[in-house]
Amino acid sequence: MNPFSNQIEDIFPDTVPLSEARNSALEQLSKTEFPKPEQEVWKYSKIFDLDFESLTPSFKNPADKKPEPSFLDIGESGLVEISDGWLTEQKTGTFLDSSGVYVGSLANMGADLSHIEKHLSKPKDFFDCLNHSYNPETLLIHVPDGVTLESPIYIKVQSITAGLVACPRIIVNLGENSEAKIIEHHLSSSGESLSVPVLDVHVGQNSRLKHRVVQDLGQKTWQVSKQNFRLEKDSYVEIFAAAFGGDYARNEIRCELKGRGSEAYLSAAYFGKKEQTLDFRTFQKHEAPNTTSKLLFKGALDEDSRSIYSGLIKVLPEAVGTKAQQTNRNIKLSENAWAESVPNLEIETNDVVCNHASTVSGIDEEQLFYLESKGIETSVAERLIIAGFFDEVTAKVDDPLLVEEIDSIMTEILENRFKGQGE
Amino acid sequence: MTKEKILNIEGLCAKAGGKKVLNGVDIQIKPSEVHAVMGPNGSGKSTLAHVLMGRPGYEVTSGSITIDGLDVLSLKTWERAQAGLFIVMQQPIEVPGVKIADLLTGVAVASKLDPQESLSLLREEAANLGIDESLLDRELNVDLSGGEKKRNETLQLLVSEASYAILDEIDSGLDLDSLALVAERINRAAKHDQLGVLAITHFNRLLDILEPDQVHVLVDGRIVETGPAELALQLEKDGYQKFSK
Repeated sequence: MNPFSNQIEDIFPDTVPLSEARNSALEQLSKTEFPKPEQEVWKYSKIFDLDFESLTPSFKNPADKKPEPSFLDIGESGLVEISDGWLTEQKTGTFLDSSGVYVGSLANMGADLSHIEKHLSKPKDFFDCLNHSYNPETLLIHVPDGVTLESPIYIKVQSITAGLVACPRIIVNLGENSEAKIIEHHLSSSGESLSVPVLDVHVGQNSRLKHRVVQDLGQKTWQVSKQNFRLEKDSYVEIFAAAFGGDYARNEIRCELKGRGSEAYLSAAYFGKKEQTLDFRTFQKHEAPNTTSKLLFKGALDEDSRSIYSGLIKVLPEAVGTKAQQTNRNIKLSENAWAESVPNLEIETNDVVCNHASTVSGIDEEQLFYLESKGIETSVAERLIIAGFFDEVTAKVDDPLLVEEIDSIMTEILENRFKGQGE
Repeated sequence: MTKEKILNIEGLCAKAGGKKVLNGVDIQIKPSEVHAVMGPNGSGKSTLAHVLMGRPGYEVTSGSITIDGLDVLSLKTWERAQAGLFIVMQQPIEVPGVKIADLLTGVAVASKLDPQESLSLLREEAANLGIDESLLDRELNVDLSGGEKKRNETLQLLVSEASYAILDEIDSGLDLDSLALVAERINRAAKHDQLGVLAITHFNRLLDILEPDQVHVLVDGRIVETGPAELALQLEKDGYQKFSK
């Protein structure tokens, strides 16, 4: 019997509008097929190797189970926990202060969702439908007009139970002239599981958002993640992703610059090892005049790992004065590692400045020689060069907790790497 | 019995990019000695420097290099540096994201020195060379002027434990005041700290301060003449014409 059946009434704490949306997603899911290798958007992916049939939906809040340890577990007041797709902390809506900021379950927000509904993504592919059908509770972060959040909102997104498909969903809505910073930590237990998170972000006119995610999933976890950003006039977002974990981890980042003068800065640092596949698909869509998007993704691939970067900059006819950049650089640290980099431009107007670049190379021999000529042995010199390579991306991460976590993960990876070499 | 302290280059032949560049070079440098190597462009001066340090792309076909009796050619680049060789490259290489402090910490750890002491020595020497402290937080050679790079390299030489320094056109990129500062400081290291120096240059103004014990003329990968400091003056006046075939 297919565990992903339509018989899910009363399992999830839905209100009426949510239940209607879920039913429509279920309907769509039943008509949508699992990805096929010949589909262009799944080129180079290995999602077809996933034994999807062996997994079941997350029907129970794992509140009684032991959580995964995270660098965010330090008693910060702004911590929200999502486990197997369920909200384990912040069950009820929380107003951070009297300014009307809401962090909590979408279902508890009340009946009137119309003001945010128009900003939500509609399910398109199999994984969208899966998330919209089986997401137990959606986390809503709403920042009203004119409000600046002084401290970041930390979100721990964990897959605890093996054998499950976890469907976390987060909606972020920033009103006009507001400001927020959100940090997500994605982690999982050592068992096999699939995580299908969907993030929908709407940034209102003249608002600023910094969104950072550290993906440090367990070795047997698969992930297909969607991040959708919609930017209104003169808004500004920084999007950062660090990816270290997972068996196969895919992150699709879609950035729609809808309002005149909006700006998006996207960056990522990833480090693949063993037989991991790290897969990034990005879409910078310029829909309005004088919009800016800059993307810089940097990765290192060791052992038998693979990475895919495929990105598109699209400039619509009305988006005159667009400035767009797309850069992907990879260092291959072993013979067997493999990096695919596919940048693309689709420009439908003149008067734009767009460029893209991509490289896949080994550690620079000249840099290595230079450092060695100062008396630094090869392994330490390589370590310095790799850390230096990422510095361009990681130096811009300004949250002290996050900086420390990325630093500690990187150090551990590099130290293990050279320990292995010394044997 | 202790080995005699000497950097000994004997009958050195080397290829670069498959082409023979050095055709039997002999130079012996003892502690505190300053040797200059001069010669026309393409004579093999930089190749000599690169081969000494083991830069990739250069192949030694015959001859030997020893440092205090140790066979340099069998050593990796970093082992050569730890054995006491230091090269100031003509064009120091950019290493994005790596700071001079990272480098120095790495070197200190490798040499079993206290990184903190190395860093304070670095600051002290930086002040001697008129280097602004902010340079120490910059990425290695990235967006530095030619002069800044050379002063930076000199600084690293001075805080290193090197016994022999190879200076490949250290004067290029330095203005006259900086050149004087750098050359005087290296001269002092030779006189007081037993540093042996091999200075590759086109210009006498460096040698005026460095006061070489010997000047070697390198043409077509061979030392065609060796003489006292005055030889450099003569070369500056007459050029290398009389050595060309």
